[in-house]
Amino acid sequence: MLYIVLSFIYIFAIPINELMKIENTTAQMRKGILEFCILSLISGRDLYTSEILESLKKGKMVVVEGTVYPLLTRLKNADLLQYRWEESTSGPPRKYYSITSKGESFLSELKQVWNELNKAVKNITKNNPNE
Amino acid sequence: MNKTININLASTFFHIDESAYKKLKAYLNSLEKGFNKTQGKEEILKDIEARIAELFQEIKTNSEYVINETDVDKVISILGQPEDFISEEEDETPNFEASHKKLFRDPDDKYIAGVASGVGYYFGIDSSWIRLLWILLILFSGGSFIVIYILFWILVPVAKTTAEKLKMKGEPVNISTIEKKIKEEFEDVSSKIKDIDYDKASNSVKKKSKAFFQIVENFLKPIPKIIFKILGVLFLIVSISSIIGLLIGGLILLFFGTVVWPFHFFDIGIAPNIIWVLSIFLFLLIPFLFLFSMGVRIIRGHSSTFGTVGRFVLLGIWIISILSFTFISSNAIRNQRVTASKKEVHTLPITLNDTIYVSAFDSNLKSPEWEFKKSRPFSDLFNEIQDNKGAVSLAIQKSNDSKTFLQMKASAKSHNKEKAKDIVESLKYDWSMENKTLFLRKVLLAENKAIINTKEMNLSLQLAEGQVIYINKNLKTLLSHPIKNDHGFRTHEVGGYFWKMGSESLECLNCEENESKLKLHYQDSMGKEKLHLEVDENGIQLKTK
Repeated sequence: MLYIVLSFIYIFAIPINELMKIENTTAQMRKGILEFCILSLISGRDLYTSEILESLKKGKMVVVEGTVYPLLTRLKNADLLQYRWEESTSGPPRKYYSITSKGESFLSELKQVWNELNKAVKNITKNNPNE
Repeated sequence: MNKTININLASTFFHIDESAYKKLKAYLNSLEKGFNKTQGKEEILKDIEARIAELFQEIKTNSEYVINETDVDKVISILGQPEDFISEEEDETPNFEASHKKLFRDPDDKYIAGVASGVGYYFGIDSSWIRLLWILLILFSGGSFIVIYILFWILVPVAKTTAEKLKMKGEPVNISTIEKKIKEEFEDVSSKIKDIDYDKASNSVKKKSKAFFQIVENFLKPIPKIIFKILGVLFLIVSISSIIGLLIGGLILLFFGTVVWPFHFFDIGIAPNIIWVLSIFLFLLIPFLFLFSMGVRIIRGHSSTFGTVGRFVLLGIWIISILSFTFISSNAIRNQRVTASKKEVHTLPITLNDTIYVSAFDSNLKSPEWEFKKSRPFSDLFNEIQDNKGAVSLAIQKSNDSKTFLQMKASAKSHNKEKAKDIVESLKYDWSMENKTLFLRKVLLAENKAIINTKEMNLSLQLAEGQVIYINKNLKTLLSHPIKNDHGFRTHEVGGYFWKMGSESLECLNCEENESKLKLHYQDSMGKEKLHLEVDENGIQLKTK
């Protein structure tokens, strides 16, 4: 009997493992949304890193600043963002980010997806009797 | 007194005290390690450095300001610990650490041979835990784990070169890591020398308490991980020993199992019997294979021993083995549903004046008590199945008549009446009566090869009252029913004597001859011997007190 139970545990350990990746999934989700936020912030006007961080922190999108740097670099590497250096009066030179045309089209796509998702999620959670 | 260091962060100049510098450096190093596999690592680090510079700039009130440890702590809390945000990168940067690691003994961190620290690196556990585990294992195993330790010592190589040390720790071996490692070792040595020279006493209390908490933290952090790994090791030990046990047991049964031959279970031919045994074997084995692969998985991370396809194939085989086991068993049981038996009675040409001798065929005349049979694996199996023996049993009872006769009852089991009857008809039993001697064959032969075990020949020798009989010792294996006798002999003991059928039971005619002594004792209530009488071939002895 023990063998049967153990082998079944083993076989079903695969989906259980995947379930345990839920943390990973939410991280992924937050990362995607964070990218969306960064892009839309920068599309308004050119910003330097600290300004981006400030807005995100104010909007409670990030807790620690470290999260943002890899994302900025990745967006830049994907040609969605570009940057230029500008001298600052009160410290080291600042990296000003601006959105590229590719970034703009990507952003509008993201916006559309976000709106659809938002609507769908709202609909579903509204009809859920548990809520 | 504290040393102040000048640093250049993102082309900005700062004064920073030594402990703050160390902290900042450790933080940047951990970030560098964390982003090791992320694309654009250099740039991210530069950006973060720039941000730190900016934050320092905000803290700095005048140009002489020395950045202290609290400032660094503040900055780190703003930016976050590397594990807070680097874990999010993990999915796109698969972690190869586990698979790249190799087991070595660590010559730099050792009490005995560096086994514990090497194992610790391999599993990513602090070596103190491994040492504790070793000690516990040695204590609880009564010292036998010392042998295992020595085996580790002999079999696991020492990490001598820098490349080997990196492999031991699971870091990739390339020029930059080797350089880093060598630098680390150099710094280690130089810091040791420095420690002697400088602020050895100054903040040693602080350092010590810090070190203490660091140790406590290091001890507490990996507890769940350790329990998990121990479970994995336990799985491996249980599964490997069970698999080895099953294989050895199987092989022993296969090659030497002539006594309890595994393929003799059912009368349904040899192939289903082999499949039956095989399905039991697989039914037991496969779960242990799964357990083994689970253990490997726990210990080595995500590597899977059999692969998804292999797992499902094994599961399939397992289910098939259950099904075939059930099918064959039920079939075999179904095959024994109906029992047919046929009775024959033969009156024996014997009068009460004669003595009837009963013996088995093919007895070894030289020494009737001994029988020798050489077992040969495999050939025995097939011979016996071709021989198709059935069980023969002999009972000796009192006849209701004044005549002596042999009653033979042959029976066989099968799935229906006709089949059972056919089998009974096909049974051949060999017996003869020559010169007042009744010869009986020990085996029952059948023509029907499909039948092995479910046929019987029950013989009953019914003696008239007053009939004298000699039972040969070679009948021992045939006599399976209790035989009533006046000496209270057990069934296998009646051979070798002359018996006479009395009114109820057999009476021994020559048993007293072998009973060479007659002894009489009389003891008083104190246990003292008062009377001793002994009669044997030396005469009569009588002692009194």
